[in-house]
Amino acid sequence: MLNAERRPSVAERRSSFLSGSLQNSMNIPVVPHLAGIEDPLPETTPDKVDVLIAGTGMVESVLAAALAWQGSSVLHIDKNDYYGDTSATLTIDQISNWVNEVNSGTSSLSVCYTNAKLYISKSLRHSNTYVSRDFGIDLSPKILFAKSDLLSILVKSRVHQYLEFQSLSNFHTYENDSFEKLTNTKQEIFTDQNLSLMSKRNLMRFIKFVLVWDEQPEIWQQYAEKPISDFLVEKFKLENNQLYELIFSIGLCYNLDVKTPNALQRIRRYLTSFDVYGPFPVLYSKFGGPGELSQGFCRSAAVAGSTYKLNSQLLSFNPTTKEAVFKDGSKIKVEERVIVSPTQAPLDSKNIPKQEYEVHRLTCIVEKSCSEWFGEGESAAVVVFPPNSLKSNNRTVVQAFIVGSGTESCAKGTCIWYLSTVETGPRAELDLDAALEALERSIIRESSTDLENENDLIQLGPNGQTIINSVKLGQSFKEYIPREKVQFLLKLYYTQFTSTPPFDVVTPSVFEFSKEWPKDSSLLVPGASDNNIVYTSMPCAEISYDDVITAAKVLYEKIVGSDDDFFDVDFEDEDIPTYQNNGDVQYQNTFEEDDEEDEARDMDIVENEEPMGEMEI
Amino acid sequence: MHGVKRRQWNQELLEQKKLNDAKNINNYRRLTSTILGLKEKKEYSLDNLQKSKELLKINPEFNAVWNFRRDSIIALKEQLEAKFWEEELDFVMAELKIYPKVYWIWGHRVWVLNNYPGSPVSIWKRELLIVSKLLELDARNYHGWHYRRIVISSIENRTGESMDKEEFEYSSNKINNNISNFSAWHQRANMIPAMFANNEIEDKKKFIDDELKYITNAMYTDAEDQSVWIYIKWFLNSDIVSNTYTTEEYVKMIDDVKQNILIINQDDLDFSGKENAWCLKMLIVIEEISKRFGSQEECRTQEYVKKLIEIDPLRKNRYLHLRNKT
Amino acid sequence: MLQFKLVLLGDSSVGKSSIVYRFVKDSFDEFRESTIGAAFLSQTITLEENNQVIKFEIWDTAGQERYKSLAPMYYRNANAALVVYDVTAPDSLMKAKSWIEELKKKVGNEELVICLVGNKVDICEEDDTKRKIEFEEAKDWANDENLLFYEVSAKTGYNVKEVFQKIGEQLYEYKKAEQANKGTQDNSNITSNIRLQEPQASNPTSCC
Repeated sequence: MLNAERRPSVAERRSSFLSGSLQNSMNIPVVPHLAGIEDPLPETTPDKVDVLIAGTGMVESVLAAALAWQGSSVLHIDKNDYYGDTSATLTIDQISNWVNEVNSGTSSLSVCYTNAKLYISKSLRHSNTYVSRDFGIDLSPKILFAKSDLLSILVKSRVHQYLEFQSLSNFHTYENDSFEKLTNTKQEIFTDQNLSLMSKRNLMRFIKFVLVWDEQPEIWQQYAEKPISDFLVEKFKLENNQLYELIFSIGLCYNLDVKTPNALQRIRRYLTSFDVYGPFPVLYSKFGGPGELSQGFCRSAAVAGSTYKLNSQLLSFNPTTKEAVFKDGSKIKVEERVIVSPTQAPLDSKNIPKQEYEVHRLTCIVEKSCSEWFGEGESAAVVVFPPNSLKSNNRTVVQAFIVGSGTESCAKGTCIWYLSTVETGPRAELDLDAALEALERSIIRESSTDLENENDLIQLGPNGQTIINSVKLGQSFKEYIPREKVQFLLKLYYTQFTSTPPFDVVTPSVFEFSKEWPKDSSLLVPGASDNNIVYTSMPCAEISYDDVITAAKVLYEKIVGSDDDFFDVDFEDEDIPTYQNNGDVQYQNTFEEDDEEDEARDMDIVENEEPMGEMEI
Repeated sequence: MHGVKRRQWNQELLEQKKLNDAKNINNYRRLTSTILGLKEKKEYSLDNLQKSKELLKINPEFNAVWNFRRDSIIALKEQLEAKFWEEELDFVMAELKIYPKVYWIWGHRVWVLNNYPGSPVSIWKRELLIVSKLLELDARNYHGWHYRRIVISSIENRTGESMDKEEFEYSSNKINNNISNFSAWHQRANMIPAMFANNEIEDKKKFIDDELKYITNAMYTDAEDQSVWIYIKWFLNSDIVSNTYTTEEYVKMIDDVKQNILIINQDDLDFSGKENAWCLKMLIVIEEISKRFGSQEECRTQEYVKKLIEIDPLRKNRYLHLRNKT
Repeated sequence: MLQFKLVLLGDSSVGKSSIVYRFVKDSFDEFRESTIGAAFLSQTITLEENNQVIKFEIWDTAGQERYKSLAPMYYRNANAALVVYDVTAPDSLMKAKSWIEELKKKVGNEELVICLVGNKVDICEEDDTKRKIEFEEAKDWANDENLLFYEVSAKTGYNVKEVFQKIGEQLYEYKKAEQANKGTQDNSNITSNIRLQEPQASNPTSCC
């Protein structure tokens, strides 16, 4: 039976569910509940809701949809006139406004971002070729692993139907001044000409192990507190360049000292994602990353009955009267929780959690398609600069996410480069600059037509078959002196702060709050406009979406009491037996015996001889 | 909680499904007895041809009905429109997409192609493209590989030109894509003797050298893959190798393979504390070969068998049998 | 089958959803693939002229229009829009006009088919004094703006099918013209999309 303490979910509140007995249910038409259509929304703004959420970033949007489908009434607002908040995808005009707001120092945005520097080229500002909305710039770009929590939620909630996804298979490691393409599948290991036989063996052994690493603690336990690099060298005898690929490109770690289990988890994430939807590990959404996904989850929440209001700023919340007041003068009573993104905190707030970790970002739009970096039929790539690979002697990795015009995030003939690092202080900008320079030199070389060593690109295999030599990217360009320059249409630096350390996906303690509204007013911070508000965390440096679902789930559990029914969305068209016959099972029994003469006559099919002999040796 | 609701839906739908099924089963029974009756009386007509199609759509494993269909087609040959044959191929393809493992459908396809008016080489070449596409989707479908052989030999018969080399290349590609593709290794083991027999290889010794490099590469890449080892066993024992190499070369080659296996086995022992069962089995095979060539080396088969039983006690009897054989 | 995205627009109580509900429900087939709780509703029609099957993917505002909070995603790649007003509400045509302006701003597609629809004519039939917006007034404006125009009743079903038939015909015409031009277009270098519901292989270890 329904647990009295739990609010019935949307599915449970449907008439088809409530109507009870079997006989009744026989009379229910199979006409589905037309969510968001069947019940027209009330004429006026509700005067009370269960949960108020301010900020339409990824975590908040996923949370809103989860709560809405669970049955909570949600008012979801954003002070901006666009969706996405810290995950937004912005046009050129919106980016300019955003930078101004960060630098104004007057809004809570300045708590979360500093040091925003924007350069927009003349050709972009006064151009007939481009318009502002040709570009969608992600404030925190992300890639989506094919096997991940978020992806299963996207499918389960059907939010994926609002979105378009493309594949990303090219991961490059920058090393000795050149880009190496990954060797990470059995196929590539088998056909790779440059790997020694023993290396092939070691690499294969590791890849097989890592897929089930958590089931084999005996192999890694003594390395549990040691760096992954020790483990790979000592236990699997892997060589340096393999180490770099595994740790930095496949594992997307920040340095060589990452602890073994942590890195194994991340390496497996890539490998298990491979071949789920095709020969690639990662997807990204068209028209922008988290900005698009946020919109999708908000729409899903709206379909489940949440109320949406952009351009709406929370002014204060009074935990005693449970009244939230907005800038436009409207008020609402919040029965359960107020969840606020740090960027949307009310003025005079005094409880925003400390955002102590830095993420430095450099985003550029270049006037080049950069298709040389992309896999066939794709329009994005990841380039990783391991520690000490750059002129700046970088201590931590710089990651670059390259997005071409095939994603429709930028105009034809242009490309967006998103660079980021978790290095702190002034070193960070030096690292980003050095990585940018390396990218720039590389793309000029790749896209210039006079490739001198065209012959080296194709080698002959042992049986005379031709093998393309790890594409043009594998070539060193040490001696290459660029003759042309990349045209930058836009360059944007900023530092973003977050409460999540570089390696943790989420710190649940940030969301700590008492279960009950305080009876004792001495617990409240005097004069604060945000007492008893729960703040979400800013996006972390992580390039994948892995933090999103974890964070949303922790918050959901705090509000609902358990995360058991997190997105337990039960669409009525699921699990209905189909009426098409599959032929075999049912008709087996009604089978009339075949004529004796009806053997395999008139046919050329005869069993082949088996040259390879017995199946077993 | 939601389960309750689902069960309600299912009850209701199961009722309907039952009704529906009953209807379908009746329909099927009626069709079956009609067709078998027609078959008995050899009543061939365009209408009955259509009926057989309906039945085959429901149950493609009913070979008697395929036979009736073929008899009908032969009987009605003059009446059939030109487009009938293409439509028949489309029908068979649609069936294969749903039931890729039903033997009778493959058989019917071959029959249609053989009886296609004129049976021109062009339709067989088109068929080769189709089967290549099918094998791209399901690289290990045994029926697909088998069918490919039939298509190839039909083309060869019509053009009088051997396609062994292309087929050898094809198997290399498939193995490069997936080293565990047993059918592709099998195909390779078919092609190589054919190429030798038809004198299609210029430098036989070089060919064997290269093939050895290829299998060594495979062995190191995945020493747990049975396709690779079964192929290696075939290759080492194959006449083409012993006929191409001098005895001296052959003995040296066998010893090289043995050394590589010992390295791999030792590496496994170092890593996991266990020896590799495939390596041990291959070492037994190699000792057998060496003995034939009068090797003076001490026989260690007994020792290998003992180890195999330790690693893999479930197959104890098999290993004992293996020992007694040698 | 041709597939098109159709978006609904108009103020909150003009009956956008009821029109679609009427359209979808009237010809609802018990066993067709349904779209419950789904991203959008879908419904197919067959053009009378040439038996062409057209599938509409119908996006409802889900209430997000109330505070002008529709996301760019909503408008993106829309092929057709149904802009609805209420013939009994005096300023609802004005509001429909502003939605059309918004629509033209947000949707780059010049071949967007827009249909202006006056709903609730059943009320006027009962009591003509309830009518606040004259047929001619709306019709003339729609003609000037090059919009399709219908008065309908979601309640009785009057003209609902006709609206979608007409939109379907128009979309078909555009599609035909587009395909005729296709020869000149450069289709190389197209990035393909991945369908998430149908994994190509379920075996996660198949890479190794």
